[in-house]
Amino acid sequence: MAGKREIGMIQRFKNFWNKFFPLIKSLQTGLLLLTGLAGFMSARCPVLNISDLLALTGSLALAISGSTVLNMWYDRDIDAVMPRTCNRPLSTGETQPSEALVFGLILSASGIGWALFLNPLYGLIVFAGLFFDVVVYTIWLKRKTPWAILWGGISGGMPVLAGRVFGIGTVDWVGIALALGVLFWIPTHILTFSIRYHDDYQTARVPTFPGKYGFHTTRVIIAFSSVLTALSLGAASYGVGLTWGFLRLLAVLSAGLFFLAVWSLTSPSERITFGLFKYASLYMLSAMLLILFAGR
Amino acid sequence: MLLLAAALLSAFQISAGVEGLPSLPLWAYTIGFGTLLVSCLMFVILGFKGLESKTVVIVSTAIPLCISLGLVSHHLPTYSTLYLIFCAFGFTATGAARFFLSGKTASLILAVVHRIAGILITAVPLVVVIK
Repeated sequence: MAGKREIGMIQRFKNFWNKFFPLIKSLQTGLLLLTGLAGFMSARCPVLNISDLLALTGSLALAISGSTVLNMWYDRDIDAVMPRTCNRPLSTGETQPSEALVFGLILSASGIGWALFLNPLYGLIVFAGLFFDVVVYTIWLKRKTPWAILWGGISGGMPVLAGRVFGIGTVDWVGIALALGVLFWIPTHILTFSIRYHDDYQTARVPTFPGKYGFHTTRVIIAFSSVLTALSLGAASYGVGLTWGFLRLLAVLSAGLFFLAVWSLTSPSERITFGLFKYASLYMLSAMLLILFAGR
Repeated sequence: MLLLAAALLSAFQISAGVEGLPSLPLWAYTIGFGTLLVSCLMFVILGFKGLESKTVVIVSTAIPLCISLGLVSHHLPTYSTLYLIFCAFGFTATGAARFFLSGKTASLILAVVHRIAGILITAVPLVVVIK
């Protein structure tokens, strides 16, 4: 009897997991969480207080997941018409909108509440990230203007800034530089995506840079943003205290990013553009890992 | 897996393997291993087909030239200036030949440059060990 009850609970948990886990976009959430950890470790390496690290991880994970779920809830009508996203749980009806909304609100409130409890300034920045992402970017601007990605970039830079603030208790130039690095990286990430899935976004009537300004202008913006990303992360890494060896490594990876951006500009092709998207993701992951583990 | 291993080894060389060296070998190794690192990552991401480009051939020439320059300037400093001139000339000639000369001539120049650099990459460590 007890065994059957346990099996029932496990099955219910599996059903819950299958229904709601896809809503949090684990890869994107994981990368943003990593930036937050990198921001924290840039100030607190080696970590002497494991409970601080766990609290940061938990609160950020909840807040980031919550904002992602709320975005997916709001954009379910767009997702339903794009081939790339039409199989998402909200588009297929596997998850009801009300369930997703409640789930997203619970995650968001838990994350922000926990963050505010840990440190008011840290909590404020976590809240700002969620507010800019869900309210400003997704609800207000995404369907009106392609410049919405600027606010998407600002919200994307909040986790790393929040992590740094949690580590040192205040906002400093290194934290700002880290946030700017992510902000300038976001156009490379999103605009390469919008070039590849241009037709999808046109179908869904979402304004994009390629749609409004053309592919060539979009690629020029990507090249410029790659340079700014490298400069910001380079300055931040120097401020964090990365040794010259790791700064050289970061410079090499940055050169690769810039090379691909220029190549995409001079010899445009879908393969090169999506290659740039993948390399940019790998670049941000590598940069954050370097800051996480290699800072003095 | 082989490409990832090469990329990781190159990253190690750049970040830790060349610390304490004089400027010329340090930057030669950095550019050589850096180009190798980025090339490996691009092979993994783009596949072999995505790298069918004259630019790729020219840029990848930097790998053997710079690594051999690092070896020469580090272990045979007497010849470093001479070899630096050869590297600059070889890199420029490879680039120019790819764009302005026939396929056979371009391939010949590429082969000569790579052959000389390759021989040095093999021979210089042997010379150092024997000495």
